[in-house]
Amino acid sequence: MMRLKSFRRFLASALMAVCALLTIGLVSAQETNAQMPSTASLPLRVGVAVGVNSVGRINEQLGTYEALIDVRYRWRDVSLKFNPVSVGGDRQEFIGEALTAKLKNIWSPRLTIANQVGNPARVEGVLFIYADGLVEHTQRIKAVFETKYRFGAFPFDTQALGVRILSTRFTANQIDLIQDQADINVSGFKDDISLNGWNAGGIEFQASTSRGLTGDYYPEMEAKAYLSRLPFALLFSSLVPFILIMLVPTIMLLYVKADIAPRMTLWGASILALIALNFTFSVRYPFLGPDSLFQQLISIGFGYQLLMIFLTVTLMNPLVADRVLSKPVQHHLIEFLRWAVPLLFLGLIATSVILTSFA
Amino acid sequence: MHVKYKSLILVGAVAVVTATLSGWSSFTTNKHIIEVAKYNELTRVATLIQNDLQEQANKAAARASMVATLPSIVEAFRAQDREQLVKRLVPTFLIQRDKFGIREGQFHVAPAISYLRIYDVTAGHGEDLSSFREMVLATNRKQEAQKGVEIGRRGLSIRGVDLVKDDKGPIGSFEVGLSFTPVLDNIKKNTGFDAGVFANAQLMADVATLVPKPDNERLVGAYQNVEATNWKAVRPMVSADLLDAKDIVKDLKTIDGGDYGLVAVPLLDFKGTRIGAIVATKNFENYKSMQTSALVRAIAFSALQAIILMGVMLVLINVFFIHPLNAAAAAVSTKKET
Repeated sequence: MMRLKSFRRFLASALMAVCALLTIGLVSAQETNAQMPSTASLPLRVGVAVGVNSVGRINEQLGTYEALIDVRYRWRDVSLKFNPVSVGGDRQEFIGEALTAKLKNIWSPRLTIANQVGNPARVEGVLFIYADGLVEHTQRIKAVFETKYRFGAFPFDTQALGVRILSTRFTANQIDLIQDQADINVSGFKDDISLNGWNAGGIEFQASTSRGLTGDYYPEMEAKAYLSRLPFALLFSSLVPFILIMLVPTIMLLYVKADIAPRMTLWGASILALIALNFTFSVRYPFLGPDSLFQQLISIGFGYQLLMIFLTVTLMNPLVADRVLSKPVQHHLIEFLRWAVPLLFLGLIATSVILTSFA
Repeated sequence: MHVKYKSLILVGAVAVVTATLSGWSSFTTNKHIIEVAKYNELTRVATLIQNDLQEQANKAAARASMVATLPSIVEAFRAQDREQLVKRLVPTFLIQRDKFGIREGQFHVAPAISYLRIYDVTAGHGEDLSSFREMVLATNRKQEAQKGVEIGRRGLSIRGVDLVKDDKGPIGSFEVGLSFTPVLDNIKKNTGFDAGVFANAQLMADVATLVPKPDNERLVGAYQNVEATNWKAVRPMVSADLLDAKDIVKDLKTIDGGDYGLVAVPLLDFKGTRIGAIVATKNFENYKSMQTSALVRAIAFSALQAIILMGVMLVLINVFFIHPLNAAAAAVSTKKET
């Protein structure tokens, strides 16, 4: 038994050592001693474009999403100019091993995607070098990315799927991340993209700098691809049980002659049902804050129940009502409440929903 | 009609009218505040564009002045030594081009004869520019520096021209032309507006012979787009009328159901002649949302006010007037029957 354990430990250590060696090997394979394009004045402008080919699981709770994206970096390196006649075309293409080998020999901005979670599931790349020295390095990456979701307007929310591109090696004095029209034109969602429960919108880029440990500033660029949630199915599935919970006791209180006991029993059941619905919302949408529409609905519901219980034990309870109010006042008050209370309740819900949709 | 229903209609009408007036007043106040905020944002962008243009012109003038007063440059220009001028200025100007958006540097002799183009040192020696380079003419004629916007052989630039002179008198002039990219980038960075520069297409075709002809897609009426932060965002906003406007235009447009704010600042050359426009645009959906929210709030509070007002009045009228009247009428009829 002991031998087996120590053998396993040995195997694990050996495996880790091999992995470490492989990693070092891979990293060193990507390293290059190539200098920045010497003829370029600094900071060297590096065009960044981000295209979203498909979006997989959007995990609101973890603040992540899975996507297949194309990230393109463009810069000019006049030392790579070539004669199109001798090469037989104005563009040289490098993919696979040729790409890795070429990247080892030329300068590249070595940008990192800072919000990528773990290792990518798939990475493909292509490098184009044009006759005038323009270099285009495109990476197709399938990975999980972190992003910050905002749920203030849920389920009418628009979320930004962020891709944060960061320079960890070259400072803001050395490279500048930019977009020109060519970058803007290839950025954004693929035209025929289809997303379940979402509508694809535009893309925005925000450039900034972050301060490194050495005190230098490093350029970064965040691409934000916007998705709008389709709200109606979610809204319907949430509003219908909510209104049903309130409907039966309201009918029993305002439109049916009954004693106080069955009415109170119904309100008790309604309170329990609302607590259960609140729990369901919390489990289904754990990422929602206290200011979300669903929490507003729950608060409205509890407030409504409180008001109706108060009416049940006062105005609708002859023992109390007869002592405080005359019969005609009771009669006219109840007449008024029969239409006013449901109208105000539905109006309040509608107002909350509409205001949230414009938040 | 029964008194009860008459009172109901009257009370309902009064409650609805007062609630509507109150809601309308609240909504119009909010709407006015939002309209003022939109207008202020557009005004701020227009001011920023004008200030940035002025600042760029100052930068161009400062660089031109610096070069025009460098003793080595003055000496070389007096000696008509192009090689020395090239040797001393080209490396510096290449850096200035790549880092700071300088796109032109040129020496002239009076009245406006091209002497040396820094970015194309062999081109256009002795070319007479006097038919279209009025800034150069003015500098050499008035013997004073000029700054502003003008179209030259290399297109539309923000320019500064300064006189080169020594103890013997004036030698000629030196000009620096800056691109509009820093102005447009500033607008985008500081306000979020996408912006584009448009110039008179005919003027560009006649004068700017050293730049390629524009794509048809970049032509709008009599104007051509020279630069833009995002042409896709700017294109749907511009029309020939907008570019023709004589004054600053601040407008709101609805395109594909979306609201957009739009500013067009006329681009005047150094004499004040209109040669194009700078257009900036931004999605104003947030203002639309605010306005709709204000409307929804006003309607909701009006409805609440109407319902409560109606309820209180109905109960009071019924209890204090209709019910006693009905009771009295019932008592009278009972008496009659007995």
